[in-house]
Formats: sequence, C-alpha cells, structure tokens
Amino acid sequence: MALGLRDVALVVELLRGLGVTLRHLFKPTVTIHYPTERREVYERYRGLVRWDKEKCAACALCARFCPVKAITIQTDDGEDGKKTVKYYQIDAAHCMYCGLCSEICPVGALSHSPYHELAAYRREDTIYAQERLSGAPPITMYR
Amino acid sequence: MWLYQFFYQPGEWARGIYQVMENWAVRIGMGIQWIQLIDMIIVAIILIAFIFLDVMFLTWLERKVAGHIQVRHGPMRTGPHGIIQPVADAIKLLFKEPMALPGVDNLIYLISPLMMFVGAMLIYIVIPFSPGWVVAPMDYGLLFAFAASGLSSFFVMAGGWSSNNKWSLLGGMRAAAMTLSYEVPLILAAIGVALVSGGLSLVGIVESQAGMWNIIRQPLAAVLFLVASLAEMNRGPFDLAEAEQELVAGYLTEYSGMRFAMYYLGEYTHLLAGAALFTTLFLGGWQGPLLPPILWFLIKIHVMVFVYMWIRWTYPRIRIDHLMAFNWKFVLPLALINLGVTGLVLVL
Amino acid sequence: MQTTHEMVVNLGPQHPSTHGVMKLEVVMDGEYIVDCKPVIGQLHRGMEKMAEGMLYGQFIPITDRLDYLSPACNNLSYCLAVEKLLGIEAPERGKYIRVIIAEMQRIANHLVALGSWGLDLGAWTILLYTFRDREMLLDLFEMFCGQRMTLNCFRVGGTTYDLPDGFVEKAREFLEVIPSRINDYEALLTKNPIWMTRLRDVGVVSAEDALAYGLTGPNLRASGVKWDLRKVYPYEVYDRMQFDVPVGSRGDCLDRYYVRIQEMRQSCRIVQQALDQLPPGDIMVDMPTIALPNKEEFPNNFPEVVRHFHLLVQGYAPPEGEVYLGYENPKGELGFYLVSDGSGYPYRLKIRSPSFINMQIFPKIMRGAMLADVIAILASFDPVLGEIDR
Repeated sequence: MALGLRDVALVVELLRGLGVTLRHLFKPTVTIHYPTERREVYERYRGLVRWDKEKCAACALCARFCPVKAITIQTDDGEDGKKTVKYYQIDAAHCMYCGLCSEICPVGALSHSPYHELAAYRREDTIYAQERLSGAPPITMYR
Repeated sequence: MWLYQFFYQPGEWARGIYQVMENWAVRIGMGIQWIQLIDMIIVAIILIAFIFLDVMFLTWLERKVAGHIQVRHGPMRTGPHGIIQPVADAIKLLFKEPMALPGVDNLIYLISPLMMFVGAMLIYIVIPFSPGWVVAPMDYGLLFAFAASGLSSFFVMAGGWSSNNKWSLLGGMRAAAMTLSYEVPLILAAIGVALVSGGLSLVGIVESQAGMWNIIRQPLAAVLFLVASLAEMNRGPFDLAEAEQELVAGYLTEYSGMRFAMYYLGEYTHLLAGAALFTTLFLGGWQGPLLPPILWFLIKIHVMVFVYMWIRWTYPRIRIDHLMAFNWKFVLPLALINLGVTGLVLVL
Repeated sequence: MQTTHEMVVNLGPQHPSTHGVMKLEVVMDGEYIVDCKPVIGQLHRGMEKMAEGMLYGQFIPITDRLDYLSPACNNLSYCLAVEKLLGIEAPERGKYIRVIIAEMQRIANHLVALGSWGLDLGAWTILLYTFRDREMLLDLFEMFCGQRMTLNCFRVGGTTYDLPDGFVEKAREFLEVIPSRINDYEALLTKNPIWMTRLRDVGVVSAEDALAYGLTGPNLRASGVKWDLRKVYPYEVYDRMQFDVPVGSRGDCLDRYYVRIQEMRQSCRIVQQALDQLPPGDIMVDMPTIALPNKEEFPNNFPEVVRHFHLLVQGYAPPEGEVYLGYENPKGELGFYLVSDGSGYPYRLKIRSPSFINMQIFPKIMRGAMLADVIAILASFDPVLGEIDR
C-alpha cells in the first residue's frame, strides 16, 4: 500500500503524533541520575545472598538444592558430635538470585540483602566465602 | 552607537570596517586586491567558526530534544545540563583509530566525508544573515544553494560505495535515489516562492517578504519544502541512507574517528543550512519587529531546527519504495499544482 | 558486459534489530529478498537436558530464562504442567494471584514487543514510552517477589509469596494510568500513515498457512483464527473472567500490531476483575506431599523437619506417565511435555516454545519482501531468542 493524493486526510493523524511528543517534551522526566541518585529496592528484593554462621545447622540442603550449584559447603564433625561448617562459599557470579536457598533453609541462616551492585574487576572477587558472607559486601568501583 | 549599528545597520557596519581596512592598506601601500583577499579570509573564518559552534550546539540540542521528548534527561554530566558534551564527543572521535577495510577505494573513501561537509558549507555563502550580511549576494543564489546541497548528497553515495561494505552500498544507493527524486519537488516548491518574489536572489526574496511572510502567501509550498528538505537532508522519517535498524548504519558503517565526525558535522551543517533556507524562503529571513535582524534570523533558524528534530523523534521511518511513491504521486503533483496556481494568480 | 547478481547478506547475529543473537541469511536482489534462511542456536543452553538432572521444583527458576520477557507466564505454564502430572490444583487465592501476575506479565511483554517494534521501524520515542510504563509493572513484580525480570514466583501447588501490603492499591493505580498511555501509543502509531504503510499487506499469513505452520498466540489470531487457550481450555480462573479475544482479518503486520494493542486492553480488564474478585485464603496447596512445611514449627516438631528434607532431597514423585500441556503465553502456546518415571526427576522434558514454532514461517513470507520489511516482519512476530534456542 502506498500513499497517494487520496490520503491527504491522514495529515491530521501526523499532527496528532506531533502533539503527543510535544506534550511529553514538557513533562517531568522519569529517569534518575543513577550513581548519584538511586532507587530504593523493595523489602522483598532478592539481592546478594547473606549467610548467618551462628544460625547455620550445616545441613547442606542449600548446596544440594541450588539449581546452578553456586553454593559450596564443607562440613565437619564437631567435638560434641554436632556438625559444624568448615567452609562456606557462594559464587555470586553463578548465583541467579532465584531465592530458592533462602526459601528452603530450615533455620533461616540464608537471607537476601538489598545489595545488587556487585561488579568486580577480578573473578575471585565475585566469590563470597566465610566472613565475607555477612554484613555489607565490600565497596567496589561501581558503588 | 557602534553596537547599535552592528545590530540594526549591519550592512553599513561591515562596510565601515572594510573602509577602515582599505584606508589602512592605501596608507601602507598595499594592493587593493590583497586587502580584498584578507577580507575574504576573515569572512570565511567567521563563517566557519559560526557553523562549527552552531553545529556543536545542535548536536547537544538534538540530544536534549530527543531526551526530553522521550521523558529522560539527555546528557547531564558534562557541564551544566551537558552543554560541553560536543567537546567530549569531539575529543573521543579525535582519539579513535580511523580504520579502513582492505579493498576500499582509498581516495574516494578519504575525501567523501570532507567533500560532503564542504558541499553543505557552500550553501551558507548565499544565505543572507542580516541586511548586507551575505558572503556572495548572487542573483541566482537559490539555484546555487540547491546545487551545493545536491552535491553533498552525491558524496554520501560515494562514501557508501567506496567503503566496500554491503550495508554501506545499500545506504549510499538509497541516498542517491532519494536526492534525485526529492530535488525536483524541492526546487518546484522554491520556484513558487521565486515567482512571488520575482527573482532567484535570496536577498531579494527576503526583502520581498517585508510585509507578509511567504509562509502565508505560499503555505502549501512551505509544507512541501519542509517534507522535501527532510528527505534532502537524510533526516527525520526519511533517514533511509543511515537507517540504523535496517542497514546497521548505512553509508557510515565503515567510517570511524574523524572521518565519521566529518560526516556527522556535515549532516548537521546541512540541517542548519536547510533550516536557514526555509527561514529565508518562507519565514522572512531577518525580518521581524524590535529585535535586531541577526537575532531574528538566528531565532528563526533554531526554531526550524527544533521542528526538524521534533519530526525526527516522532515518526517511524518510511520505506524506500513508499518514499518514491510518496514523492512522485503526492509531493510532486502538489508542487506542480502549487506552481500552476501561483503562476495563474500572478498573471491575473 | 554488465551483469547483475544477487547479494548474500548476513542479517545478524550482530545486526541491531534481530531481537537477540539470531542470524538471517538473506539473499537479496537489490532491495528485494529472494530467499531467507534463519540460522539459530547461538543461545542454546540445553534446558531440556538440564531438566532431567533437576527436581521438579528446581527447574522453575530455569524456566524464567526461556522467554525472558515473560518469566511469570513460563513459571505458570511449567507449574501447571507439573500440577497436572501430580493431579493437584492450587488453592483459590493462589490461582487469582497467578492470573494477576501472569496477565501483568502479558502487558509487560506486549509493551516490550511494541516498543522494540517501533524502534525497529525508526520510531525511537515509542520505545522509551513503553519502557516507562513497563517500569511500573516491574516495580510491582519486585514488590511481589523480589525480582524484576526473572521472577521465579510460582511453585508447584501455589505461589511462593502472598501479595504484599499495598500491592493491590499500586496495581489499581497502574490500571488507571495505562489506558491513557495506550491511547498515546495509538496516537503515535495506529493511524500514522507511515506506520500504516510500513505494516499493511506486509508479511501476510493466511489463516490456512498459520494453522499449517502451527502459529499460535497473537500471530495466529491476527490471521483471523479465534484460538485462545484461555478461552478454549480455560485454566486457572480464566473461565470466571470477562474478556474478548481480539482477532485480525488480513493477517498482515498491522493486524499483528493491533491484536497486541487490543490484548493489552483485555489484559487490563482481566487484572481489574481478578483484583476485584481476589478471595482470602491459602496461597499454597495443603498437601504434605507437595507443600513445604512451615519453618516456624521446626524447633518443636521433628517430623516436619524430616518431611522438609525429604521433599527437598527426593522431591515429590509424580505417578508414572506423561503429560503435555500448552498454555497461552504472550507469544503463543508454551507447552511442556513431561515424562515421569515415578522418581523425583523428570525422565524427559520437551519444551514447545512459541517463538521457535512461529519462526518457521519466516522463509515463506519473507520472499519478495523488501529489506525494510524483513525488520518489520521479524519484529511483528515478537521472537525471543532465549525461547527459540532454549
């Protein structure tokens, strides 16, 4: 279908389009200046996974159920026969923030933090192990 | 007094300066032709400086207009509201490696961006900025403007063809086809204005609009000229030669660094020239109450540039065969009708 | 002697408007397409094989990555397939929440489709407008389940979370705003002569062809076949919703566009009704063999702990058998064919992804079109490469 002289009436539609864009020209902008302004995340936001050493029961259910196997856990038999965690790590580069681990953890040792700006220069820095797994993550170049 | 003359009698002011220089040359025994050459060089430098500065401003303006139309900010970090963004762009482009594929036609590949820029710049020498302020007040200025404008499109095609890339070739061919067909209604629309004003001299056209602008006398021609000049400038809904989503970047695909920058500058120079031509032909050039003529002229061309940008950021891109059909079946007949009616009215 | 010959152009994988890493090998005669061959596979992740090594519940977050623009609908389709295999049904409130989220996801998907379509045809501004409005939906999703794109919000037998406080109000706010925004898009596009000429009579798919090639979703309905699985085999609570199925008549790109616009309006209607009817109650099915126990009871209820571990290590074992279920995704019928051997892991999972099947018709309708039409047709089918390559 090509335009011909019969379609002169459609000029009105063209002008309507111009009207829409002109109206938006004077609307307040909706974007934010990212590094200086940030949007608040919602309460349920699934950011970097945090691990509470005190609460962990060393059941290794999280490592087993994680669909991408981002969690590594090594357990040890403690003095009183109770299992303890020898080593715990979460590979944030593999983690897909699906929230299954924190959902299934029977003792609530795993939780999601609102941290999501986790870019790092080295691959090793994306692996969060032991003491790096609680509190705020280290501040990188990007935050 | 001096300032008043600069703004309100720019012709006399410029003649005064020239007189001073001539007297000085006669005093130190320099030939009159030399002083004329120096004068020309000074005018050229002023013109080029104006174009460069304004084009830099336009690249910023385009981002800002696009941004605010799209409910975002556009550049904000480089200076207040990103005003020195064009400088940052220029520095970035200067430091980029100018690459060329094996198999490019080196000479044409190199000179095309420059020539396109030059072609766009040539238009300015017939544009009357202010009373008496026109580099070459030719009697056939309108014709010259169209010739120069067509020339720059030719080098779009040459650049696309020489860079040995299929997308570039398609883009270049589209540019050529578009220019060929849209020159016709563009000139026909302008001829209507020339008929009304009684001459091809742009100065004469501006002066003839003293009481009433041509946009009122020739509204149809104004609309057709707007549409055809969009196509001529490869802009807006007719940016088929570049067509980022179809042809990757069209004729610009293989260009990088300063060569790309020259094309980019050339495009905006062309845009500004198109706006200046529209202002001269339809909006009464420098004419206007209260404000000095040069300010009126600048205000008008920037309003026109805004209209061009507004159109570009509103409409989808037209398809190449529709573009041709639109031209031959719609724009051209209307332009002919307009011309005929204008002639008839003038005869009666 | 002067000769002309056809030119082979690789449209993609690095082309700006192939919607992902798809390659179209296009044979061109000038601006016209002589032949077109889609080359896919650059995004292959082996999802069907991955499923065989995972418990049924573990695969849900992976389905987010199928059609990454409508993850909630993928979750829903998968969960419904597994539920069918297990012979269970989600409770009422769970069903309503699923429908609300899925329909919102449909709007979000169509907004992206529309925006990127406009962008592909050179109307840059529409993209920013649709993404602005989609942002409101993504905020709602983040509020509901904590992620914006990869929701992972449904479980077999219900949903993960209940709607948070303030969700319903915010959703209603969105529903108030969106009709006027859709009017804006229509003002920008629907009757715009350039948009119309670009799309009308381009990429025409007749109803017979559409059925023969197995098109589904808006692409099928645009050809005039009134086939919407939400109406034909109502699942969840769609049978209680009042909504129309928009159909086209010519089967060209303009119809596909208009069907999508209409579907957004219909989805708004569905969300509105679902919010009005939203009943109180459970969100997860009350079956010890499927639902996870309440964690708060763990310290003094050891059998529940054992059940928890059993469910997560062995999974729920559906009876032996196979099931195929297709559901109406924004892009078409997303079907999951599951074979169970009685263990906690699926024996085989086959995904019938709508984009993949819809794409089969490309070579047929692209022949004779212009290069600019290829972009328009490609965008009109709204393909997502995550789903094509799986």
